[in-house]
Amino acid sequence: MKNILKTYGLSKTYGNHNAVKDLNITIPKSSVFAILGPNGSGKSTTLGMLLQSLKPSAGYFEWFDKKPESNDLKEIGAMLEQPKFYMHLNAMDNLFIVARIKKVPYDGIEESLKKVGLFDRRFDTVKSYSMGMKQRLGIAAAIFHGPKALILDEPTNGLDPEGINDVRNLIIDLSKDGLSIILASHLLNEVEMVSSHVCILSKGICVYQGSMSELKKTNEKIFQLGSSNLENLRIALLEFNKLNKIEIHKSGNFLVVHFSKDVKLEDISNFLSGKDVFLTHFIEQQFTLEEKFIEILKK
Amino acid sequence: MIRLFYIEWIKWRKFSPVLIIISLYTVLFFLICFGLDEIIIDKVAGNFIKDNYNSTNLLMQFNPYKFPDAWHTFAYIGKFFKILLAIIIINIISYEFQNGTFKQNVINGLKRWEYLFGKLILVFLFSSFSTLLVGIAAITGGIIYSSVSEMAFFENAHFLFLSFINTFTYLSIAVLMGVLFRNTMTAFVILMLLWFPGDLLWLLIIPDEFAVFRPFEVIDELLPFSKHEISVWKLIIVCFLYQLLYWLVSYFKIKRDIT
Repeated sequence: MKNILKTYGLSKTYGNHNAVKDLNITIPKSSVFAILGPNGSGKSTTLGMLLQSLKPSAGYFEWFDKKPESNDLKEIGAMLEQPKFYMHLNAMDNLFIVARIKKVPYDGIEESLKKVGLFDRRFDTVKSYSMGMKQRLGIAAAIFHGPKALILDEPTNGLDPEGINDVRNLIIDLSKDGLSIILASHLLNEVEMVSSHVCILSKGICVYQGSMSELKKTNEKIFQLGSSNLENLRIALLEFNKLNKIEIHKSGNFLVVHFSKDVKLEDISNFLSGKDVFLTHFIEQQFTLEEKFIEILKK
Repeated sequence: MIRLFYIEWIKWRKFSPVLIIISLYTVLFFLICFGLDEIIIDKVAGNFIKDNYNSTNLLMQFNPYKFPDAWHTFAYIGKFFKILLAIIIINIISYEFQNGTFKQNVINGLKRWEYLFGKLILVFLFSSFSTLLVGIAAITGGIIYSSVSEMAFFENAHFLFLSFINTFTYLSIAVLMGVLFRNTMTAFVILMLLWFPGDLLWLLIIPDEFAVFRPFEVIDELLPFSKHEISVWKLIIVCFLYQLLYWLVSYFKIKRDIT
């Protein structure tokens, strides 16, 4: 099995509104696949269809290289936004219910509670848990039976910084264990830290799909350059043959200079010293996911 | 089936509304049966004598707490308590929809028919529980009030079965209300409105000969105050048909999209 999921023209319409349109995504095994998009872009609708709680209006999908069956859900763990539990029951009872529903043994329950750091609170009722603890219990419920794939919809929603950090580390640990994770979120910096692949949705349409490193690749190199006289630096750079564009940094203290992709550091340095211009500031600028995301959505 | 029973058992064994209402049900039922026994006996026997005879000598002979009438008497008293069980059923279903656990269960792999079958098990258990209480009360009352020579123990014991059908059919409506309205207060108020005046409104559109088969009337007729005026089997069959309808509508309702 190379891929855990493939969708073929998956669509969902409500009346005249296309919530998801002609979605074709491939999720490789052992990846952390992020589905990104602004609110209303179709992330939750997509997950609803993949979890068979929504019927697609058109298209189909394959979990684990075969047509979907209700049994597939036992191979998938899912936590949608805020996980739902029986508040009057403790963590163990709630996970017993999940185990009975999935027809799986109880063996993994205590281990999963240890993994998410709730083992010591396992006999407390869920209504006494903080938001972050409920979120971690949701992940425990989704993984205790050893699924092949884990779906997380906005797993850090409503959490404090400590809770966000806990969930992020948990996702990283689980992916290191070889679990394939599908992560829907609008928190780009969170996604950037944990994801290997990404699909960007806009108005129900997939506008980008690929690996995270591929997404952040650019056709040029961008540097922040500073010198004692910025104007002299700018004039000198205009004669450099691998220059694409010069902008002034928003602080006003540096230039943001776009060069062609094959430029080398020493080429710039040697060229400028030949012009008696010496650099006081030199940083290669990386594209953040957020910048790429906005750029793609603008297109 | 054992799996679905076990799921329902874990879910609700510590749910305080269930524990409170079941305790209230038991206490109230026995309190009314045996705390107000003299009033009930006087009332029932008095009516009987006034309507049928003109002699107070019969008062000592006719006693609704004696066998074989005890089965009918306690089943009749018990039928008024099914409203409490309906509150539990509606509360449980509303909780699952409002708290999102129904959706979570489906995401975890529970089929929709399994969810509803779980509720069928609950309705069966609550109906059995109510029948059991009626049985215990009838046996207790019958033994206390009957002399050894009057112990026609099993005569009229079929009222236990009718009590079960009565509660089961009523709770099936409660399931439908819970599934349709998903809010305890709304579902309960609509259930009450459908009972009264809803059941009377049927009289405007159906012929008189079918009046007894109105949704709530037919349940009530299973346990009449005096005698059955229509074949019991007809009543039971109509109740079964109504049950089928309620469960099918509930199934088709939850089969639709849930997100």
